[in-house]
Amino acid sequence: MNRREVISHMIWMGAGIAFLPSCVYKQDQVSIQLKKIQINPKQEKFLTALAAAIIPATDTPGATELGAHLFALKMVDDCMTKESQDAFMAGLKSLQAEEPDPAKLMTAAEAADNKEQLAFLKDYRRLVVQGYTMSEYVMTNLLPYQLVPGKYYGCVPVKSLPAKS
Amino acid sequence: MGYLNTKGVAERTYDAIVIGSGISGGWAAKEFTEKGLKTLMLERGPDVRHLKDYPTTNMMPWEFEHRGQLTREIIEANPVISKCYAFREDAMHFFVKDKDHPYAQDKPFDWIRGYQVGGKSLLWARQTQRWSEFDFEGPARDGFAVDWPIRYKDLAPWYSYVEKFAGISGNKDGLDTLPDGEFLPAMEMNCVEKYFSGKVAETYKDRHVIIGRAAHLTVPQPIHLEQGRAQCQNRNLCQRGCPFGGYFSSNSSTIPWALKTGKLTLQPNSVVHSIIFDDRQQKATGVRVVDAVSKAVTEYFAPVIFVNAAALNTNLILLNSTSGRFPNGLGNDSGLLGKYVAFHNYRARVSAEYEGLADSTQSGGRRPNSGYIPRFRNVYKQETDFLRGYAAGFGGYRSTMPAKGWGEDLKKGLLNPTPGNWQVGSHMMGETIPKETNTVSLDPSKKDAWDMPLMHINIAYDDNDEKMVADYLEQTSEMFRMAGFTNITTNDSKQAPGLDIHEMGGVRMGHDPKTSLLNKWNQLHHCKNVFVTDGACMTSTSTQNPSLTYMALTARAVDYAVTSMKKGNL
Repeated sequence: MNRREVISHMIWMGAGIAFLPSCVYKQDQVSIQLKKIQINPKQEKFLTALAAAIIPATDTPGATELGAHLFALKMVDDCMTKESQDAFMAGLKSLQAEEPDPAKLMTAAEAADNKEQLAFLKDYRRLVVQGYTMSEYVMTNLLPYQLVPGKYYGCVPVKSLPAKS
Repeated sequence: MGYLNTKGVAERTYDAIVIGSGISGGWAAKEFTEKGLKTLMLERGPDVRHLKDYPTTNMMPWEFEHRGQLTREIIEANPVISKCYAFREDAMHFFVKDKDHPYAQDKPFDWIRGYQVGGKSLLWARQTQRWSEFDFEGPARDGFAVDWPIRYKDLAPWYSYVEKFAGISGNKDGLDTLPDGEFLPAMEMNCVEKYFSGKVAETYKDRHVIIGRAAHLTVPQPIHLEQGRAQCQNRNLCQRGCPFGGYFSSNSSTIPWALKTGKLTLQPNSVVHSIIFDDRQQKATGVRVVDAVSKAVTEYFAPVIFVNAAALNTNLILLNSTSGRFPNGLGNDSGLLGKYVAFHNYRARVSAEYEGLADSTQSGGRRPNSGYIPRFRNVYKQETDFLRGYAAGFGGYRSTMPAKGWGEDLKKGLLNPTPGNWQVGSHMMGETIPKETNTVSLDPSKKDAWDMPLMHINIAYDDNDEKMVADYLEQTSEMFRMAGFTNITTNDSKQAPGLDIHEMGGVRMGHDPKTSLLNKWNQLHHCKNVFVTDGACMTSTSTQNPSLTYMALTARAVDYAVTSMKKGNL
């Protein structure tokens, strides 16, 4: 399956919209209902592109196809302390006009020792990674989660498995 | 108080009343009903039926809105309960929220409660280590609290009795500090745990690292299948309630067993206000119950009453049970009710890593258990500048290397996890010395919505605890260094008492009515038809996770109560 097929397949299966709230996407609204932080469509566009650059689609879906960017925003909104939210938003605002290239942004933020940008980039990376690895798609198809694993093996040789990408 | 006794006295009269449906109350109900007594079990919270009322038990990780994490709103609204390791998105519905049941912390105390049928037996950590002779003789040898009125030989047959029914996995390790029991096959230690166990055995003649004895059905026996329980599947999602009945809880085991006899009336939403003492008959005749929902008050009667409301709430009920004969609480002639409360000291941890065993790992299930180091300090004689000692948990796992970089590199790293070093960790479980100043008491005026006085908790660490923390950190670091572990990190969380969820005492057992509340059969010295067999009865705490001991004490006390009733002595 090539990348385009995988993505359209995903959309058909609806797996990617698990995080979308019931509200319809409109021009001036963002696609997730947030309670504490406010995100405008321009910022959302940046965050979506950034998530796609952090974990891109290959022959399997990337972060945005799996809704990891919206999961990240939900976690910032619901679970972060006020101080962390403020730093995240300040970092986002100062980066939103930049090209969404995470490696480049990180290098620049480190060079400038910009605390808010660093907080934003680290938190967003962590949450996008969490949203991706804990998505139904990854936990079903790529790194299967066993709800009922059965036997425990305390000491077995490390096996090398075929590489996934 | 509005009394609403719609049913006649005869209909509200039973052969036995059990207050509480947690780990010890469940055992009391099972034993009474099996012996043919018509039993009323009162539970202050709502019903939780095995299999039917475990709403999250089969949920996948991605089905939790925050993947298990607590929201800021919940943490801010629940500063106490949110500190509990098991209070997470998947099981928070089984814990008491801070604002629903307030209490007064005269000193910081994190009171962790589960108000529902099954109580905390749904949520416990399932570690079931027997006490040894060294534990029971502790107070007498070391001159604190009062002498236990029982010894290991009194409880040993009852440990066996409850172990067979509950299903305890473990090895026969042959240690005099941790007697062997009736074990199902043990869970397996992993490579690094086996390695450490071997190193410790080589280096210290009196220190041992074993797999924890745990209430899990590794190989179910006919008695467990008869309960409708099946083999533990290593899901390690126990706190949600187990669809296999793989671990022991009141819900999966003792309560359905008691219900099957047809002798049990299980009544949820029933807050016990007090025990009724009849001055004329000079005994307890029943209990006063406030309906948790309607707040109506009803009285129930029985010739024998077991108080299993969980340690501190058992104290609360007895303190609130005042009468002409007992103006300071039921059975409280000594004035010691609510005093000498103790707990386990869980403050300290040591973690490290191990670079060896690089070509081995663990796999398959998520083992719901870990290693255990029985107490080795001051066992045979006093050898340190503090009294008693600590047991410790020990566990290891093979970590994965953090995925680095961005884009396709990061993705490849996430999808192809490479093993990192073995990570190991240990936490202490220290004995605390019961003191008269560690108390629970009732507020003279403030009451809750069920007309129960507000509880004051006044419990703190002492110098002995501080010295023990320091010794644990030093000894564990030394054992880790000896084993070649690196990056050894010590931590004293300074967490408040309570978070160990092993609060005990206040209604202690003893020989002498002047210095204790209960006799060797867990009977109130001064009100013989009331028994206390939950954590409140504990004279000292030792270091073992206490639930197994409560189960054994309960089965033993019910046997004694029923025998006494038959002889006409109750």
